[in-house]
Amino acid sequence: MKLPPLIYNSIGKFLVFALLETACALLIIKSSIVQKYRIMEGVRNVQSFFWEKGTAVKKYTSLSQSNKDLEEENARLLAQNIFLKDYIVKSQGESKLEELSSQLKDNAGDSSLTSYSFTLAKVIKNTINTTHNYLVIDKGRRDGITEDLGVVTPSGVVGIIRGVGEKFSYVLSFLNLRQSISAKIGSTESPGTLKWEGGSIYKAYLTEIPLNTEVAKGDTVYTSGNSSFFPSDIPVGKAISFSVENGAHKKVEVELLQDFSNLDYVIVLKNHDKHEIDSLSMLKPPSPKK
Amino acid sequence: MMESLKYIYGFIVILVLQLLCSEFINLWPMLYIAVIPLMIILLPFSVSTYVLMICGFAMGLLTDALSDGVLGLNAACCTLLGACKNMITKPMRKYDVQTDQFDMDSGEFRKGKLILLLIICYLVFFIPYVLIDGAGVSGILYIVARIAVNVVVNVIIAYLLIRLWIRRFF
Repeated sequence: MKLPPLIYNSIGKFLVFALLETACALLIIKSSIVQKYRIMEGVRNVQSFFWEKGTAVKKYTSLSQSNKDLEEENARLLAQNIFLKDYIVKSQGESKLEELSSQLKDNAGDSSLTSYSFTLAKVIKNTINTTHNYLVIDKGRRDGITEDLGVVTPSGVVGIIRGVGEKFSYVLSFLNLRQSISAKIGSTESPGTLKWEGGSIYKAYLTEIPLNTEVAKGDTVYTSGNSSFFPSDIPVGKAISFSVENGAHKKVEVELLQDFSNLDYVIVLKNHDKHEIDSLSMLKPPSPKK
Repeated sequence: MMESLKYIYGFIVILVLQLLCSEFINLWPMLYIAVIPLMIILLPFSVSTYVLMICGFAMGLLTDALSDGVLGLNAACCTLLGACKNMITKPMRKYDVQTDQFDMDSGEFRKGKLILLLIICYLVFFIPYVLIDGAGVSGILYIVARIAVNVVVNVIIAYLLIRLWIRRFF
């Protein structure tokens, strides 16, 4: 492409002008210290301006590499974050288990819990609005959970494990018409059956209490310990009222201590003697001698 | 030939005048009597920008070398004036004269236009001069005041020189 003569002329004038002014600047720098300092300051400013722009351009051109590095760094931090979160959850779980098990021991007494080991579990799902309620907890086979283990909190019974997956377990809630547990009232040793009959999640009924058993309003209802699921003396509720049914036994209305609408963590109880107890229960009585 | 000799002679006279002013006239530290820009102003319009720049550089350098100042300071300012002169005078020239010849004696360049030309040329000369001479040490008010004083005084001197002496000489 041919440039017009006017542009050639202008470029030529500018070059001559720049050449002469550069010569003047060099002479000034050589002959005067103050001017030299000032001019060099200006030159340095121009230099740093271009250096800065050059660095910016270099940075811009190497953005893809920077992005790659950042992605790697991000992935590394993400992995670290997951590890640390896991660590925190585990630490919190351990301290929570300690807290809950000590509460449980305070409530139920140490002696009744000697043959039990505790596993803390987080409630993943909890239904309370049907007549066949259930829970899902975050502990499964790999955590040593098996079927038919009792699930409690320091405030009472929650349910019994009826299904176990690798990582999760299915708990049949106490708030289920198919579920009942053996319980006693006050300091008596006469066991009855505690059952939720639907309706309010805060009420259950203790039935089959012998007529001669003293029942007073406000008496605490405990687990009896007659099953291998739950140890004895875990407080479950308080007696509100009672009635006599069919003239044969008493039926006690119980206010449950456990708030099922607010369940975060539960304790899975593993009875180490359960197998022995169950196998003994299966024994047939000896046949009479002829 | 005679035309060239006339300008070379004028060149020498103005240079001597400048050296005398630099050496003997020191009225005020702020004030600098600059006669050499006149030579560039008085060169004809037909002289190209290249020649004006080189003439300015040569005259300025000679002044700096022969006087007691910062070497290169006058040369830098005169080169700038040489580069700008044609740009400054072009609109005036188009308006006032038909030919490309600029003759101070023709009377076509009226008083007002001449003063305006002198003011612009001296501003072009003195702005870099004061800035470089002060080297950014002085405050803005001092710089402005110095530029104003120098432009006013030098325009008066240049106008008087043109009207009283150079007009007759050229």
